[in-house]
Formats: sequence, structure tokens, C-alpha cells
Amino acid sequence: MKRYFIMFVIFLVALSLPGTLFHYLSWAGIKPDLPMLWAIYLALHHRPSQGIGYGFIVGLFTDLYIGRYIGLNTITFAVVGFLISFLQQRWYKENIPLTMVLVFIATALGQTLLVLIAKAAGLHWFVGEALQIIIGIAFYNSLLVPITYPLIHRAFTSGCLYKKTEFEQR
Amino acid sequence: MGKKLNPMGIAVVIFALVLITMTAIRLTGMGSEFPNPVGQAMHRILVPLERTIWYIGDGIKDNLRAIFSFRTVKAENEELRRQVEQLKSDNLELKQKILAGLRYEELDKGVFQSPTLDKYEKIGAVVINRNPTAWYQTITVNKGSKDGVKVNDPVVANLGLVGKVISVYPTSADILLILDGEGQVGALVRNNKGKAIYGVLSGTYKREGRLTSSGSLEMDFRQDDEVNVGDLVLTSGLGGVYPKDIPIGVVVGTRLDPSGLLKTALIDPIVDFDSLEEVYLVSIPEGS
Repeated sequence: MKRYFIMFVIFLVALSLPGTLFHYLSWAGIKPDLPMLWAIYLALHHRPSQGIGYGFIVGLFTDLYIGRYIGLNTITFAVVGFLISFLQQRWYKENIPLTMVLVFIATALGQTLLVLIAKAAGLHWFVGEALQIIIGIAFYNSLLVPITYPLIHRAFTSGCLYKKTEFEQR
Repeated sequence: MGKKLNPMGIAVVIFALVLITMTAIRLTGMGSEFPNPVGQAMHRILVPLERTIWYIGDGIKDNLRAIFSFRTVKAENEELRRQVEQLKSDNLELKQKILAGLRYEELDKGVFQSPTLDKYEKIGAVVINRNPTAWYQTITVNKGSKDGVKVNDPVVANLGLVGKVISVYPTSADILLILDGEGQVGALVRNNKGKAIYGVLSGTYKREGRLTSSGSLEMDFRQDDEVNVGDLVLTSGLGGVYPKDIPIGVVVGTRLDPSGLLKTALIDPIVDFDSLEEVYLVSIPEGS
């Protein structure tokens, strides 16, 4: 229970920072997509069936917080969560540069999917410079990996987010 | 041995999910009102945190600015000291006039004077969050439904139009800036002969140079419409959201359409959106 509470608190922080702290650190209007980064981190430490679930929940809460276009982030994050948790079984999770590459690819795919779904749903998004924005967000997210990932990875493998196996619980 | 997955079943589930998502996205678009207790609870938790980060950030930004422009501030200070001596002598003479000025200030409460806006109640609010994602041009302010804010209320700053309210929570509200392509404004241009030309103004939300996230505004006209650089753009009052005659911006250039039928006016907004800290939410009574 405590584990889920900590996950939710980290998610709340990830939701509020892009509009506040990263307003000052934005580059040409581009800021990281921290909720997506958190969904990626969660998926990196879970099985595909759980990764899709975490992606779905993080996306749904992000949509509810933003308060419009409910479903847009939900489905995007679920797909990203599934892809990442599928890939992580064949990936070196301890390697920071490789994780940066993974986060870059996952964020770029996620943001592309976001734009495609938005356009398919008929939203009047300005997509003239979508490619620059997508690459910008993906680059920013991957830059945050060396700062955030070691802490998160340690928390998942031996810290407060570590999930005990049934054997250990006994 | 795991259960075999039925490809047909998976396809049906994916199709149903896509259909549900598309419907949900359409039903919960900009300006739509739907019950969102979870979102409201999250806003209630996060607003104090966001407000604190915002105040700290502003403080750091202001102090850094003072340090980086130290030489200018020092030179300015010396110049001002000289002027103070001169002004001291003028001071006595002006005191009478200042007292008269103060009486006028009582009448002028700081919001720009517009005959159409004066009859509405205005709620002052502080910006506590900007663009939660890179895809929208929105701000969040610290006033919500408890203060009487409603969806679609127009938002103005001390100089001109800022945007409209798109989501309301008990203690906060989201505002879509006119720079965003999602929000369009019924506008008119007054040319040098005072003639009004009506049109629809839309934001482009383009990115310009480094470290700025400014969007710009555009408006389409017929090619023979007389629109010139320097003409003032105001709200037209058509469209039902914005009252008439709120200043929006100034025409800074025109661009011809390749087809030769239309021309696009590029409009520089009057409000400086990047340094926006306080706004006024205009409360328009239902059915007016």
C-alpha cells in the first residue's frame, strides 16, 4: 500500500512540475513530459501486463488533471507502457546511456501517437512544427534520465518502491 | 502452457478501445462541462504546491535579473540621484496636482477602461501555472467556481484580451490563451478611415527564437480589404464569448495568399503573454 502511495506522490510531483518549475527551464516553449517519463519508468520495472496497466492509470489521471480530451493520454501512455515493459525484458536496465536512448525513442513514439490520435479525433491542433516539438520533448525527457533514473531504479530494486516476492513476504 | 490468444478477439477489443477513446476525446473537449471529481481533488492538492513553486521561481528570476544587469542599475542609480535633487524642488509645486491625481485614481481601479466591459463584474486572479504540456497555450489562475468563475468567461489583462476560461475547479481555473490555434476570436480591424472590417482571428502558436515560447496571431481578409500596418484589432462581439471592443493587438504585416483571393494580416498581441502575472476574469451573467 505504501509503495502505491509513494508512486502516486511522485506522479503528482511529475504533474505539477512542467507547468511551474519547467516554465523557467523551458527551451523555445518545449518542456519535458514528466507524466510520460514516470509511466516509462514504471513500465521499465514491471511485466508487460502490468506496464500497460500502469500506463493506462497514469495516462487517465493525467487526462483528469488536465480536465479535457479524456482518453488522449490514457491510450497513449498505455501503448507506451506496453512497449517499454515488453522491451525492458531484453534491455540493460542498469545502463544509463541505453536508458536515455530508450526514453528518447519511447517519448518520441508516445508524442507522435498523441498527435495522431488528436488529429484522428478531429482536434484543431497546430501540427506545422509537430516534428520539432516531438523531438524537443523526447530530447528533454532523455536529458532528465541521468538525474532521475539512478534514484528511481535504486528505489525499485532495493528501496521504497521494491516489491517483495511472496517468498520474502513469508 | 499459456492460453492461446484469439486474433479476432484482440482486434475487436482494440477497435472498441479506439472507438471509446475517440468518443471520450470529442465529448470532453475544450469548454465542455462534465463531472470530474478526481481532477478537482488533484487540483485541490496541487494548487498550493504550484503556487509556492511559482512564487519562489519568480523571486529567483527577479533577483537574477538584478544581478545580471548590475552595471545598468548602477548607472541608472547615479543618474537618478542627480534627478532627485532637481525633483525635490519641483515636488512642492506638484503636490497640489498629485492630490488631485489621487482622487482620479480612486475612480480608475487599474483595469483598462472599456464601455462594454465596465458593466460587468471583474475578478482579479494570479497566474499559478502555465502550459502543463507543451501542446497547449494555457495558464491556470488561483480563482475558481467558489469565486464565481464560469467556463467561457473572457479573460483580460490590464491592456487587452488574454483568452477565455476552459475549465473551472473550486479554487482554480484553466484559461486558453488567444495565441493557441484551438481558440478563435471574432474580431474587427479599424482602418485609418475608421471603417470596421470583420473577420476571425486565430492563434498560430509558433515558436520563434531561443528561450521564448511566443505565439502570434493571424486574421484572413479578402484581398481588396483595406488593412494596413498599424491598424488596431478589437473584439467584434460576434460569436457570443467575448464582449465588443476589447483591444487585441496591432497589425504588423500582411501576407498575400498564393491563390490571390485572400490576404493574411499578422497581428502582434498587445498583452505580453510571457510575463503575464495577473489577469482579470470578466463575469458575464447568464443569458446576457
